[in-house]
Amino acid sequence: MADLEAPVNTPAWLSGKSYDELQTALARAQQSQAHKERWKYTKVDKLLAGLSRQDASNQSSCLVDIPGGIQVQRLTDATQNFLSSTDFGSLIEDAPEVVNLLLQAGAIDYIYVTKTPDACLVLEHTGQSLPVFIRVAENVDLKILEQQADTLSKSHQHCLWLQQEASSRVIHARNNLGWDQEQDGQILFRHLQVHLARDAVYTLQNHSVGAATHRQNIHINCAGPGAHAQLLSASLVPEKAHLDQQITVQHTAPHSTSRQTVHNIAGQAANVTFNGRIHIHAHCPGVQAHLSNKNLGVAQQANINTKPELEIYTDDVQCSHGATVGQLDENHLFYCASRGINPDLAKQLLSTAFLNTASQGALAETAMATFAHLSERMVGP
Amino acid sequence: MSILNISNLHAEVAGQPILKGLSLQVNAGEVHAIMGPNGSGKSTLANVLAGRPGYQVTSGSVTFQDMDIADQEAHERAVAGIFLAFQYPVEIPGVSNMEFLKAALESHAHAKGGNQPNAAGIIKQARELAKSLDLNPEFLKRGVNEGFSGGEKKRNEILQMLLLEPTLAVLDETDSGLDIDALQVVANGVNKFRSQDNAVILVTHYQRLLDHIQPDFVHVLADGKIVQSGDKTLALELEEKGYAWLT
Ligand SMILES: Nc1ncnc2c1ncn2[C@@H]1O[C@H](COP(=O)(O)OP(=O)(O)OP(=O)(O)O)[C@@H](O)[C@H]1O
Ligand SMILES: [Mg+2]
Repeated sequence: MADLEAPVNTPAWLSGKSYDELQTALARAQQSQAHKERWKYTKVDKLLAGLSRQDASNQSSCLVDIPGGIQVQRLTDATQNFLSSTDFGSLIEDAPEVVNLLLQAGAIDYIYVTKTPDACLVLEHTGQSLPVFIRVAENVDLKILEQQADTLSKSHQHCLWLQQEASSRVIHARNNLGWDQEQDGQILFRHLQVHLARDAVYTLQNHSVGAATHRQNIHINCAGPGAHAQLLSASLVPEKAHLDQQITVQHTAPHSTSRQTVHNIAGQAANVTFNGRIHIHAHCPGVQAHLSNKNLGVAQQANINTKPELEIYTDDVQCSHGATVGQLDENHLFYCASRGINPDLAKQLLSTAFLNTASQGALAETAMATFAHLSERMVGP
Repeated sequence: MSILNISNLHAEVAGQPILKGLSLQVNAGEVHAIMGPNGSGKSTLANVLAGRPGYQVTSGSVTFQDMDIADQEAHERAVAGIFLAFQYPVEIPGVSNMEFLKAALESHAHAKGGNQPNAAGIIKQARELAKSLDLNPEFLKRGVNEGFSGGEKKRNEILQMLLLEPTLAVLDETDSGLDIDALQVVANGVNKFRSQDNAVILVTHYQRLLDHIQPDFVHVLADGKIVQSGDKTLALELEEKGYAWLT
């Protein structure tokens, strides 16, 4: 474990805690069994080493397009402790690496969306982006488009917090297509944390290709009754690339619902991990939580790990949880062949179709074009 | 002109002998109906002709337009002109019908070294065929057979046949699951397709279909062999007496 360097600035949200205290807590969390389990398929040291080299002056805002009426505040140590509303105690336990990242950033872009904007909020990552905290007020609708620039730097980390107040609706289209094969050892780390109040609806439309190291954390808490989280994710991980998705959906309120559909394709010698955890807390009757993870290996040698985890502490809930690892369906391949479609084209068509069924939204077309291009190379002779 | 010549064909599926010495000759311009009890090997024959992996020919021969096709893969047979309308067409979510038809036509053109077909032309032709088969052209945007009713799937098979213009069309129970109007529509499609240059093998359980599509020959397949052949009066006789008297 890389040592945590002293933060460039000590943010205000550390108020009340000494830096030493925090470091002790982080060290403890990083050595816990749970943490080791969550970092089984990605070398955390590599990532943290990349992290500790960051310095706040290199970080830029990823907020490239802000609809009228929305103010961005740059929060540094001098600003108020806005993060008091999030539970940092559990963040230290759940994702100590993220606390690390925040400490290194020393600043956060903070947005409070108080009325439905008439345009999308656009986030674009080029180099090191500052963490972003978006608060969406009651009854407000927001569309977020998050992408990577073509020239993404070699090491990229980003945290996004979304705090949705009652009855707000967010559609978040997110493409992680920035793998640059020319950049040896590219490391990407994304942490997304969503908190949903009563009747808030969150939809994530996620697309990814791997990288040398590509880790995605997605933590969603359905914290109010009637809250609904919908997650669609399609990824194509080409030759020798890596993708590690760690998704946790918590239901801490009754009658909240979630649905996750995650389709991943692994190419030759690719490493693909999906760890999907659904945690239904006590006293949450009426919760419905569904997760489906399907993986396709299109090459002889691909490493696919899928681990669905369920923790349920209330009886009266509906929960389904399925994970499969397979190859392309022979009946589909024969149907294509019987129409004269040659096997390579059929494989390409069917792989793209498999991803298509877990792909939606404003950035889907771009993603599917990238996938088609990659799969052409993957299944080619 | 010979389109298909099957001679003493033996074939097995999953190590099980199913076809046990089947012979059949089909010439250009002919329609052959194949009837027979459940499990007698009709679909197996259709799949063997189409080159489905796992269907093993153990002896005998199949020639298509005087070429032995034993070593040809399914897609090669298809571009050579063999078409199979499936008894149970599969659903392929995520590939639209249009995309699928385009890929098929492009593969045919590519194999023949011809020019790539024009996309707008394909769309227009597919929409017209859909209408002629009483299918809403909007269905072309949906996934291949995805959520289609049984009858819609069968009509979609005929649409593909009409678009690909094969030399030999093997229709495996395309009439099953069709209502009376749909049966008429499908029969019209097949009759439109028939010409002096192609041939049709109709696998069916119902003589009703043969009222709409006049066959030149009717064969009975039982336990992996053709046990009786005749003209369309054989179908009427079968309807009356069943298969028991033949075996
Ligand atoms: N994949 C398979 N594995 C094992 N046995 C098979 C397989 N496919 C077909 N069979 C067997 O082969 C025999 C012939 O089946 P086939 O589907 O050709 O019959 P059919 O004449 O088309 O019947 P139906 O009228 O019911 O469609 C049956 O006994 C069937 O169980
Ligand atoms: Mg059959």
